[in-house]
Amino acid sequence: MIAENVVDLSRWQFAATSLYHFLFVPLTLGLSFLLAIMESTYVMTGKEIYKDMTQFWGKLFGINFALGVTTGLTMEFEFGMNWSYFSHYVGDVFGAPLAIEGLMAFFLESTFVGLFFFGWDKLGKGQHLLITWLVALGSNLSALWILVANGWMQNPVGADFNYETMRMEITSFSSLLFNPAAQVKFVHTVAAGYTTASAFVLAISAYYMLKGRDAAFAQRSYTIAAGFGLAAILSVIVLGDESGYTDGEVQKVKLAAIEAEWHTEAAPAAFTAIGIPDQDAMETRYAVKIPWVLGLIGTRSVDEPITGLTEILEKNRLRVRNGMKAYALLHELRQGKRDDVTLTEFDRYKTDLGYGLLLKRYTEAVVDATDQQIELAAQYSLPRVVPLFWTFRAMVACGFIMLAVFVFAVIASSIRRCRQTWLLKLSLYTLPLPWIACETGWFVAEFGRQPWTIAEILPTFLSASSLTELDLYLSLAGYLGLYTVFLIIEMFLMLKFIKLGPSSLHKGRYHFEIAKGAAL
Amino acid sequence: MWYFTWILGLLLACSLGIINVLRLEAQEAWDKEHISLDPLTQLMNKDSMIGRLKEKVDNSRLNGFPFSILTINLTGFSEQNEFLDYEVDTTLRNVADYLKEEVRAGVDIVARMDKQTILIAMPGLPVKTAEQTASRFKQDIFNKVKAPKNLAVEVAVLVAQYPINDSAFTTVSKEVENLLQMVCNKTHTV
Amino acid sequence: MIFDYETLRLIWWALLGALLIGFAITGGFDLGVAILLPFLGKNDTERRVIINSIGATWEGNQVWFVTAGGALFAAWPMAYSVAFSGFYFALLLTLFALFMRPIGFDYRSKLPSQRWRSNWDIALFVGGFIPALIFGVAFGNLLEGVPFHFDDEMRSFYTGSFWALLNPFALLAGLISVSMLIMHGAVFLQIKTVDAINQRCKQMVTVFALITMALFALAGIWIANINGYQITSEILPNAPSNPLTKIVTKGLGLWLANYAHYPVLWAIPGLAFIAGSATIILSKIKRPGLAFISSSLTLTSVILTAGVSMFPFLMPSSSVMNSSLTVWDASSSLTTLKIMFWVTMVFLPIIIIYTSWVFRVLRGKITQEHIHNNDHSAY
Repeated sequence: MIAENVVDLSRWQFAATSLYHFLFVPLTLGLSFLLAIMESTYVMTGKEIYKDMTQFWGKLFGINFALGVTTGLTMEFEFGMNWSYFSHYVGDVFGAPLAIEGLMAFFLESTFVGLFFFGWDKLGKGQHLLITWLVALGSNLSALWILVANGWMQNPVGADFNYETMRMEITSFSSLLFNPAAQVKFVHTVAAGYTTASAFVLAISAYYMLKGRDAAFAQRSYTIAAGFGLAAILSVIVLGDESGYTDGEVQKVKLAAIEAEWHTEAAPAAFTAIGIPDQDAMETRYAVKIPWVLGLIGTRSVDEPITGLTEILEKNRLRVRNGMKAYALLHELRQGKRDDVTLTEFDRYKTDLGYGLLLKRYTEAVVDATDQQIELAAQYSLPRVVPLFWTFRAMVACGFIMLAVFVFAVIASSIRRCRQTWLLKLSLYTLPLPWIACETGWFVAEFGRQPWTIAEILPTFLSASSLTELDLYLSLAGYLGLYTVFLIIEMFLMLKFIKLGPSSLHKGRYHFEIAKGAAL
Repeated sequence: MWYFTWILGLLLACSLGIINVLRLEAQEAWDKEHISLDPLTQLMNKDSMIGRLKEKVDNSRLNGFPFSILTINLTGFSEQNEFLDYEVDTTLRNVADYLKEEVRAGVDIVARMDKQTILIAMPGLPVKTAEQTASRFKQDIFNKVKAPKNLAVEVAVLVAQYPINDSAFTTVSKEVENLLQMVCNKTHTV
Repeated sequence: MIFDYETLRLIWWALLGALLIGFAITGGFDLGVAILLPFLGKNDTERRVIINSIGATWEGNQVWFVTAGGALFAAWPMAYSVAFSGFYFALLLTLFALFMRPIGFDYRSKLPSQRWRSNWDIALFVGGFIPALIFGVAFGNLLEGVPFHFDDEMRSFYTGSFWALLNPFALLAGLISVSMLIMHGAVFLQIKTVDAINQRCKQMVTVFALITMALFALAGIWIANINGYQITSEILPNAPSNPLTKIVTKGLGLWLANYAHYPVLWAIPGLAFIAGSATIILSKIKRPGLAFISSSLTLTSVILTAGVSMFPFLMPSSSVMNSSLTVWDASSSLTTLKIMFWVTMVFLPIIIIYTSWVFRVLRGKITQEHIHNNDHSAY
């Protein structure tokens, strides 16, 4: 058993580093495609302004990409460094998508990104365009594989526990790849990335138009971002809905927690828009409910109920007891008693082994747990509702506001009325929303999976490395310190180049320049 | 299944972005064709220029950045009658071509105001830069543009800095008229 | 084709080695160039020349390292989990140093201030030196064995300290790593630069090739006089991965046992010396392209020497020897190894093809004139 402090600190550190990493990833995912679109338009029309757009937004892409790579390196190290039991327990399954991510996606993205920036003079128009598309493809493929890995953490299909090696092992790679949780997460996450990039370009173009500078450049950027962004935000919302449905099937406890669904209601269940959930009392005070909505989203039917937390708790009490049996049998197998009876019995209970492991929080031996400890373990198997309830609603609210903004933006850009001040100001103020949505979304995904690292298989408190508190304090301080400095530098450079606008390309065509390649 | 949807959706989204902007291009091309140009130099004529000038001046005033106007007066034409018409035309066209190359496309506007005056509106340029640009243009036109020997070039610069206290700037159109008045009076010759 | 567990484990030992060697050959010269940066670049433009010689390709090269880490996780999850949590501070330090690189390369020349640029030059130096040193130190420690053990649920416990990692033999290995990567970086710079910088490179190649070979020879003598490890129980190469079932002993000079059994393996360290000398000669006669090949061979043979002498050990435990992780008992399951094998067989050739194409497109010298012409877009 690892000290609780060490586990908590490890969790804080992983949360901080991954949320920080995800500040930069969505922009990379989406902006790479926006660049590809801009460059395609350049190749199609031959107009230099589109090349300027590709290069200017590409400059901002580069500033962002640098930090994406930096923080991404941390993630690869962190599984082994801070979560070594996890890495051993599921490495057979989890390691493969990560390695494939490297082979298929990182190589593609990183090799060609250099040519994207430095190959303009050495490549033909068509070749360079291909490169831009490949960079976009590479970054999205990396999202695919990491989400296959994360999807497996949420819904561990295609794998089985092997008592001889004390770990989970792959039984079916195709189940892993086509895991419904992975599929829906992937499309939802990349769509969120596309939305983020579109909102970014939209806001900055709006800023230029508000300042009355570089109108032609800004208007074209705005128009492209509006079109791409509308498709993106629609996908995000549709796939968010699909995620809810998938959770209703494979991760019922998460759906119940997000919705503060304390009891199984008569189908179709109502959606609680606002309220004050109370986990101890298992009720939501001052709830404002919208009838039928939850049932329709969660089950796509009017007669299938959404399982409530109370019912899940009831089931989990039984599962903890099964887990105890599984644990005892596992011990016998490990001691060498490998007769058919033990093996069959173990197979019967091993899906609940994880629930048995929850007891380790209260007693190292597991098999001697008292009824009180079993009750505590069952309670512990449910995630904390209040944080999930609010972050989920924050994410959805941001999503719907962005939907409205993109609809307005597309309409305006189609009828060439982009220069309305109210719309430009709205576009500008929308800038932080996708980031809020992305971070809250990830919080919901990961916090909703607690107390497990691998749902129902390995609890978080057992997954950490056997380090000391000092180790964690030092690494946490290092990360926070360095990351803060990097963020300040990155924001400084971003803002500098955003303020300068396309004049920073020194082409002699833009607001702050004095014609033909003159120095600023 | 969703992976497949992703590819489809992505292609749709990209197409939406491209189509949206191509529409914009088509509309702008149409607009451009319907703006009245001076037939000889293919620059804007006086009327179109005044319209655009109003917009640009307004914009600068709203956002607080300076606005420069350069006029290039090719004197020596009307004074001597020895020049043939076509020589005059060719010179004017060469000057116009040179300027089209040198100014910031999409930001600056160049127009032919009358027989020998070309006006360049350059939003965002402060005084010093405008003066430097003006003298550079003057030099270049002397040295590079093919013209008869007696051609004299005068370049005048007017820079408006905002906010201004001059009470003469009441309405927008009045501003523009006044601006042009000051220009023609050569308030600041280089 | 159906491979059995034994063959796949062997193949994956080779593939991991290939990825590490691939990193040394590609990312290695980036690290070397970064270390040389403050010394070979005497003014801002020269330094920009050096940075831009690797600027467009360094990121792709670093992916060899990232993929090697991923492959370690996928094929040898036990080794990944024990090593990465055991070497916690060493890896933290390496990570922090590696942070300097993406940010340093991209941001350094974006502001004109000389102080900003000089500071980033130092940061880039650190970003090259520390990882190069620690990779060698890590390898050295693996050869000595590190203290770790498992409980019966296979939870690992590392009982050593960070400072214990900086012992003399490991530091020697670290110095070998640093000097061979500097040699390699200098050769690459010789290909990409002209005039003054090019001259300085040639000196560096010779100096560091000699240092590398000298230190390597020293390491060879040293290794014969430290304890190596050997499995004395029966090896079951097709059994499920469980490191607790074997018996391991320590003994003086056991790391040379493999060489004793198969004397042909002596060709590998021998190649290190031959290739190293060839590098010096080829650099001097101004054939830097060929020098790059021989330099790559030098790196390959140095790394392979260590790998071969350790085989089949991946990570020997000095405290509870029987917990040592070996090729036969620390791997992933057969299914995983098979899947990963086929994925690698498909993608590795593709990667090599497009990487070569990118290097070909970017071939040619980087000159001071190029920097002046591209002041705002170059790194």
